[in-house]
Amino acid sequence: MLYAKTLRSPYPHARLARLDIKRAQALSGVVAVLTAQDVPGVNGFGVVTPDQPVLVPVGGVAYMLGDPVALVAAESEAIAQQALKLIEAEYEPLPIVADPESAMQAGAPQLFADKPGNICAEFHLEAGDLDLGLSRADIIIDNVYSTPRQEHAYLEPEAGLATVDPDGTITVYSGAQDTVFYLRGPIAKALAWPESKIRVVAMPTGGAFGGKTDVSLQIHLALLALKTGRPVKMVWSREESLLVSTKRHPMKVRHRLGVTKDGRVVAIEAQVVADAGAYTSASPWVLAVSCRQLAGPYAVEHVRVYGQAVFTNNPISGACRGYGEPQAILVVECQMALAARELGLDPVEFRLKNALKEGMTPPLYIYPLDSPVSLPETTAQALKEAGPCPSSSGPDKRVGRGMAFAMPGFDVAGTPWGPMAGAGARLELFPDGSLVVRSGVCEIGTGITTALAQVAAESLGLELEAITVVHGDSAITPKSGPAVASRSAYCSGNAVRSAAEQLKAKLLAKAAEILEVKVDWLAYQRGRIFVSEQPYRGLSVVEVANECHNTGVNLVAESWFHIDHPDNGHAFTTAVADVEVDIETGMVELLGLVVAHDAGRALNPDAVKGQLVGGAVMGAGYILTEDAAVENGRLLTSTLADYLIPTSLDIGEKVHAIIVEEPLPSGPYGARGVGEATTGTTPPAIINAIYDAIGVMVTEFPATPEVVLKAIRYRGREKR
Amino acid sequence: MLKELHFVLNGREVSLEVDASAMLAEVLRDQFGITGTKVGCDTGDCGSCTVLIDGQPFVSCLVPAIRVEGREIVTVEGLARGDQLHPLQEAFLDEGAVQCGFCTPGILLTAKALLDRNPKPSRQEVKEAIAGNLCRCTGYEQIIDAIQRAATRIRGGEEPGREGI
Repeated sequence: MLYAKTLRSPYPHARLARLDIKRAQALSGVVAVLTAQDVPGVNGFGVVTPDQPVLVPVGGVAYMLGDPVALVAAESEAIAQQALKLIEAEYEPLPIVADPESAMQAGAPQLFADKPGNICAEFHLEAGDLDLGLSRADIIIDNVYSTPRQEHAYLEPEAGLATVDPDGTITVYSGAQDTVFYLRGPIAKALAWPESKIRVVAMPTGGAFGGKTDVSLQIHLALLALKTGRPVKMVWSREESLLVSTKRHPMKVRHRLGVTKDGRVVAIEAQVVADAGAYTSASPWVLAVSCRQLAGPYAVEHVRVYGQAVFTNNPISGACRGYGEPQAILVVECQMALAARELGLDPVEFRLKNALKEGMTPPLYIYPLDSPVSLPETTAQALKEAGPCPSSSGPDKRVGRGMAFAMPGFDVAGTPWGPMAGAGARLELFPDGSLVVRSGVCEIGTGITTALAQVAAESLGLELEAITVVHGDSAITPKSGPAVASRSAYCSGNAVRSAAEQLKAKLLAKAAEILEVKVDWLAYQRGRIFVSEQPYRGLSVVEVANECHNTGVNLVAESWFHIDHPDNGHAFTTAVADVEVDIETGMVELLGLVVAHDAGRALNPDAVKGQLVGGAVMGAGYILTEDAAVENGRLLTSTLADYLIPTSLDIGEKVHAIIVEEPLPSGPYGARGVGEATTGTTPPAIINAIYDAIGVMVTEFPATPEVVLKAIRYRGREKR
Repeated sequence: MLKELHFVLNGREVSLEVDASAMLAEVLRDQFGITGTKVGCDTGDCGSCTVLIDGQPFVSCLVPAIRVEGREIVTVEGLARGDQLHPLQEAFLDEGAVQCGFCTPGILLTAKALLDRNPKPSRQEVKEAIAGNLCRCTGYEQIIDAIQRAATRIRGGEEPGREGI
């Protein structure tokens, strides 16, 4: 096995003037040194458009710090590391585009010839007549919010292994959130290799949160395996992972909320400027999702949202848990808190009064809501669990409570767009009653593989121990789309259930034949098929399976789940936070956090609770301590000692997660999406708690002590 | 430069040649092939590589292997007795405290060291003990519950057993 390392641009924006690999190639133990000219096919990849280079060519430009320029494969990691130092790379630094505002100004360096004004994506969404709406408002809450750049900070860094079989099949094993669309296709294009001869295996992955959707090291590994003919392993250092991987979009959002004095929200206007970073990645979609969420879960008649994602030489912004919704939910729920205070209204009643109801079409969506809106229930339960507000622990401390609620979206395989168009599952029942479930899902720590086994077990009346789930292998599992958008349980769960029903039908038909009765006389319960009116006349599922096997009935079923509904599904989430602010130091301590989420039906309550709590704590980190700060294209936080994610001491007394169940008829056993909901709802609950404590709304995030102190000092000034 | 190293690994005496510059984490993973010890950051910030050295938790990515000469090392592989899981492992399963599992080995060992010295830790004591073990998936709640539950079981306060899903 060979070990591989990557040489990367030390400049955020520079032309690669010269590259000399001879000394590296000559080092004993080095087997291959690859540069751009070794890329046989397309030297580019990207989830929307292939604008990110596999390797920057000589004469080409590195648009971000960390852009790869060469690869080394050697007999040991130490030799590979040494070889990197022997590669001579000369750069001509270019002017840095450091932030979206300056990127859009006239005279700013144009990063890409086909992207005037450095605009990556733009959206204009409108409903009703904004000017009419604003004219009806008695108050207009008008603020600008700056959301931070969040790093996923999964504990397992990017790592992978590629091998080449004698027949030319290249297999890439890595931690990943998808196999077919996001990896196999781009690998095949870059290597100019038949896609049928590329196998992508997603290993059980040590966390992802959206940061392992983009190609990271997979094309590099495949290329090295192809060129050397040997297995090649690569593991990114933490520093590499922090510098190179995608981040949550930092956004500057100006939001105007128009409300009548009796508490009716009549108008919403927002302008969004998002930092896309150096390449497109998922920016267009993240921006679109974010813009749509800026009307909140409210029945507002007049809405206008204008959003732009802008290229800079900063780290790439891409998919990150919530996919643009957390930024929007944060802004909307802070605005609502301000409006409630200004009008002297109860913040909960004010929100519920304006919340959407079943049958209404959310202003920026296409379809009406097809199930009850359980926000009253999630809110009531969260507040009940939160109990009485705590009291402050000292004279310099102020305690506050804040709440927020939202209608986070999740994918339901309703669009025709390739990666999310559907989810497949294949089930095979063996003559001894054991079952194999094959699904393309990637196990990134959510427990989806257990949930799918449960769906199969429930459907077929089998014991869980009889079921094996084979997952995330493009050669042997049907594609399911990526593990994103809180979609895996809904989409793949439905696929598994559907395939299980097909198997059940075959078993019932065979049982009817054996028992010499009509199929609809039969009942199927707890692993037994029997005549409903004569329960003693029956067979075990194992006996029927065995008979099928012996008589040519193939107990294999395949299903492809897709619905015709181009809107996403909706979930409902409420968060209540208690904080204590030290007004001398600005330190914010989280005292308690309650989140309540309508999961439809919790297929596995432990796993659902894990997502709700984990997501909430990730939201707490986002808003209080996590800042992947960048200066002139350079990430300042290159270790986990600089980039501070929550520890066990940062979760308050306890994080309570409440599962509410309002079944979604179209979900597998009623399940809704779960994975991202609390990451978006928790941050505004915390910021609103700080507002309650100090009387000023923090609008710059994260709410570090410096930021909070600044807000406290400006308390006297007019601030809405 | 290679050096001979002898120590006790999960109850067994071992000896091997290691590079003088190798860290304990890489020796465990690459030379012994026991990969339960995870490397999350290589700079001692995340705690994923935690092992017990003479009963105390250390981040093995920062411990030069040659420093453990004559010591007793316990990795996550040393917790179970054959098929019998350690009460901490049982409790983690029962409480749903494992999501991606990457931080789990390190936290199990930190928790073992805690329970060995403090058989009845409060919630706050548990939180303080594991504050050096980062977890991005769970938000720590189920982990804290699991450690306290294991403590109860070890003290004989509850019958262990695998609960239904």
